[in-house]
Amino acid sequence: MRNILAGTWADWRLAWRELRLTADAWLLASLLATLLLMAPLIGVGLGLIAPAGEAWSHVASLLLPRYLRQTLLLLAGTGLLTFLIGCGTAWLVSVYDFPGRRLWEWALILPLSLPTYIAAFAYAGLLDYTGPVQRLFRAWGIADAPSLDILNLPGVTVVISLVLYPYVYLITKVAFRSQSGRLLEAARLMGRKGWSLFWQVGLPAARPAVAGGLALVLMETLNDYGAVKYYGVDTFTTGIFRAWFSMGDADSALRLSACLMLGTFLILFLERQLRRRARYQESRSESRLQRRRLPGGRGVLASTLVALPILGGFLIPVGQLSYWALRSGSKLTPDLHLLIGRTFGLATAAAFFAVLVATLILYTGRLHRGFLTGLLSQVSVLGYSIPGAVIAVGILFTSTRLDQGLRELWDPSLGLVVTGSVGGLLFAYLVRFLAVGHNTLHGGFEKVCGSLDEAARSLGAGTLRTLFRVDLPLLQGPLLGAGLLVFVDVVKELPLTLILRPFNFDTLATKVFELAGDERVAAASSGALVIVLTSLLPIFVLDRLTEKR
Amino acid sequence: MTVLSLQNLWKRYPRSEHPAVRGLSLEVQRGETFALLGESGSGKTTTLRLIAGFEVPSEGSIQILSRTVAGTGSFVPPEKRHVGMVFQQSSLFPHLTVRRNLEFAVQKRGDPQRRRVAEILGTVELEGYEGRYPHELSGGQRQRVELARALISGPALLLLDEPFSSLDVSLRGQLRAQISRILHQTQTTSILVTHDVADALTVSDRVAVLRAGRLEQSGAPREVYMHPANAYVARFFGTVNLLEAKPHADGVLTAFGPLAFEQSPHQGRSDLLVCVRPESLELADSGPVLEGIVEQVSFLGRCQEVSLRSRQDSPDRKKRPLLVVHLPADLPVAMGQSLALRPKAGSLQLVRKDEDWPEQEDG
Repeated sequence: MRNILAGTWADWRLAWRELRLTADAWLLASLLATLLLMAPLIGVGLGLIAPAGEAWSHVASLLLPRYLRQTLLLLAGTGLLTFLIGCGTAWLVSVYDFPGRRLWEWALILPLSLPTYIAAFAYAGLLDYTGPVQRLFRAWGIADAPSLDILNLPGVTVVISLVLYPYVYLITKVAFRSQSGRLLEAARLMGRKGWSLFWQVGLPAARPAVAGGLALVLMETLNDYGAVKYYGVDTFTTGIFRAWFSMGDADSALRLSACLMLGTFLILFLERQLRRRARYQESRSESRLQRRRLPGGRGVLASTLVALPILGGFLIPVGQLSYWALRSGSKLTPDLHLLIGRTFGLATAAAFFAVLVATLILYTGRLHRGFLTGLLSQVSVLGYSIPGAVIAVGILFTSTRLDQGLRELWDPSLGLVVTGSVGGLLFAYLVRFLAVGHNTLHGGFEKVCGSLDEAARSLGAGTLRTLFRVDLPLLQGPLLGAGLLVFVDVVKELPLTLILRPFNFDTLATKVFELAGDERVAAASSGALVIVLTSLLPIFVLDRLTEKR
Repeated sequence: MTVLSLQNLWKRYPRSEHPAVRGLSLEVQRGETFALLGESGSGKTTTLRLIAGFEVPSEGSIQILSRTVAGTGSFVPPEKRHVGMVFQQSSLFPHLTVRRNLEFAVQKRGDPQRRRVAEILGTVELEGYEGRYPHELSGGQRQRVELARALISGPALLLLDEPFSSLDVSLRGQLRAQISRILHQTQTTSILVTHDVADALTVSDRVAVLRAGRLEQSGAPREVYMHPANAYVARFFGTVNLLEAKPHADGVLTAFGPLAFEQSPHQGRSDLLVCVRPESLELADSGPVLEGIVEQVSFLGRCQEVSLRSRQDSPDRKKRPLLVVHLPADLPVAMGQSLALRPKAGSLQLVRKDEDWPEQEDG
C-alpha cells in the first residue's frame, strides 16, 4: 500500500540525488525544525520500548478497560450527535430558504468559540440544585423536578457535541454548496426532493467532507480534558493526568499517552481511507444551487430546528456566564488583568513562532518542490492531531531527561531548567498548533504568490530577497490571519498548559478551570467570557485578512 | 554561437511511471527564436523549468553559453543563470508599480537604472506607464511589461511559457507580431513554449515538436510543416490526409488511385503513408488522378472543405478511407458527385507510420 509516508525506494533515491545538488540552509533549517517538532512524539514512542513498570500492570488490568470503554462511548456519542446536528443544519441552510436562514447560516459557527471545559461548567451550573433551572422548577412548585444530573457520560457527550458540531457543519456545508451543488441541481431536475434527495444524492456525495469534519470532532474530543474531568468521566486524558499528577507514575502516563496517540492515528488513517476511496470531482466553484423556499409552518419549523444548536451551543452557556459575571459585580476573576496580560503575551509569542516556523517550512517547500519537502510539511503538522496531554507528556519525558543530562554535564546542583519553563510551554504550543498557522499560510502562498517568487528568482533575486521583497509583503493578510488563529487556540488551550506550566503560573484557561473546579463558577465566569470573546475574533476578521489580495 | 545546449536530458518525478522528459538533446543558436511545440503533458513546460533552474534534471546536462548549469554533479540556482522568463499567468508583482517591477531586475541603482527602465519601456512602447500598478494595465500591456522586465537585465536566454494563452484571439495576433519584432530588434535568444501551432509557426525561427517527453522532429517551421517526419507531427500541424500506400510503378498506389513520385521514394518499405495537406490538391482533368465520391461539403468562408469517399471495393462503406480537400469556395460541388484531383507540385510527402497509427484516424 502506498501511504503518504512511504515513497518507493526509487522515489527516495531520486529525491536524494536532487537534494544533494540543491540542499541549502533553508532545507537544513526546515529539517531541524521538523525533527525538533517530532521529538515529543518520538519521546512517547520511545517510552514504550523501555520495559513496563510494575504500576503499569495494575493500570492495564484495572483501569485501562474502563478508560477504553468510556472513551469509546464518548467518541461514539459525540460522533453520532455532531453528525446529526452538523449534517442536518448544513443540509437545511444549503438546500432550503426559510425565515432567518442567512443569520442562522452564519451564527451556526458561533459555538466554536466555546472551549469544551467552559461549556461544561456553564451547563453544570445552569442545571445544578442552586442553578436557575431547578430554582424555577421549585418556584413553580414542581417539587419532584425530573432528575437533571448531567455530571455523567451522556451529559458530557451532549455538551461536547453542542460546541463541536460546527466542524461537521462547516465542511459539510461547503460540500453541499460547492462540490455537490451541481449534482443536487441535476437530481432535482430528475424529480428528487426532500429525504430522498438527501439520502440518495446529498449525503453520499458529501461523504468525504462529513468524514473530514467528524475526524476533527473526534480528535477534539480525545483532546478534551476539562469537560470530562469536571463531569467525573474517566477517559484516557483524565487517566493520563491521574497517573502523572496523583500517582507520580510517569511510566503509565507515557503508556496511556501512546495508546491515545495510536487512537488518533487510527482516526486519521480511517478518514484518509474513506476519502481516498471516495474522491469525487473537486470543483471549487460555488454553484448557484437555488434554495427552495419553505412555506409558512414548515419554514418556521426549519428555522426553529436550525436555531436550536445555536441556542444550546452558544446563547445558553454564554448567557449563563454573562449572568454570573454581572451578578458577581466587582467580584471578577482574581487578577483578571494580570491573567489577560500573561495569557495574551504567551499567545502572541506562540503565534509569532508558529508563523515563523510555518513560513520557513512552506517557503522551503516552494524552493524545493518535491515529495521530501511535502513529507516535511505533513510530518511537521502532525502535532495538531495529537491530544495536548500526549504532547505534554512527551515533552516532559524528553525535557526531564534533558535536565538530567545538563546536571550530569554541567552542574549537579542545577534544578529543572527546561522542564516546567515558559520556553517548554511555548514549544509545546508550537508542536500542537503549527498546523493551524501552516494551513492558513499554505492557502495564502498558493493563491497569492503563484509563480511570483519564481519570477523574482529568474530576475536574479536570491532566496532571501525574494522572500522579503515579494512573498512576505504579499502575504501580510494570511500571516496575520494565521497568527490570529494560533493566538486564539493558545488562549483556549487547557490540558497542555495544565501539565507544562511553570509552578504557580496561571493562564486564563487554567485559572478559569481551577475556579470552576472549586465551585467558584461566578468568579470563573468573567475570565471565561474573555476567552470566549477572544475566540470570536477570527469569525469576524479572518475572511477579510485572508481574502485580501 | 551556441547559447543553449541540452544533452540527453531526462526528468523523472517520484510516483510517476512515465518520465516527463526523455533523453532530450537540442541546441539553440544566438539570436534564434526557438519554439517547443507539444500537447499538454508532452514535457515542454518541464523542459523550460529545467532550463530556468526550477527543476533538477534526473540525467543529462544543460549548458548556457558553454557553462554547465546542471548536470555532472553541479547545479546553478535560477538567480545565477542569466535566464529571463515570462510565465503563463501574469507574474508582475502586484504590490509594485511598473517602474518598481522593472527596477527589481536591475542591480545597479541610480542613473543607469533609470536610463535602462526608460529605454526598455520605449522598446515595448509603454512610455508613460511607469507609475501604474499591474492591475491598472490591460492584458496585452501587462504581457509587454512582463517581457520588458524579463529583458531589462539583458539575459543570455529568454524563456516564454505560453505567453499568449491568457489573451483573447484578436489580441493574440497583434501581440505575437509585437513580441516577434521586439525579440528580433533586441537580438534576444529565446525559447517559446506553446501548444498553439500558429504561435510556433509565426514567431519562431525553428520549431521542435515534443511528444511524451521525446523530440519528434525539429527544424525550420516551413520544413517541419511541409515535410513531417511521421504521422504524429503531420497531424499536429492541422488537418492532413494520411493515405496508406503500396509501392507501385514509379510511385505508390493509394485507395484513391496512383501517385507518382519523381524519385522512387519507398526503398522497398511497405509501411508507408502518403501525407497530403487538403490545400495541396486541385481539380484535375487529365493524367493520373485521385478519385472519390463527394460525401460531405462544409463551407469555411475562404474555401470549402470537401470529403471524398474512396471507390475501393469494401463491403462496409464506413471502412473505406476519406480524403479531405480544400477547394475554391465558388466551385459548385454536389453530394455524390465524383471528383478527380491531383496534387500540386512538390507537395507530397511520405512518412513513417508510428505506434498509434491508425487510432487517431478521422472518420
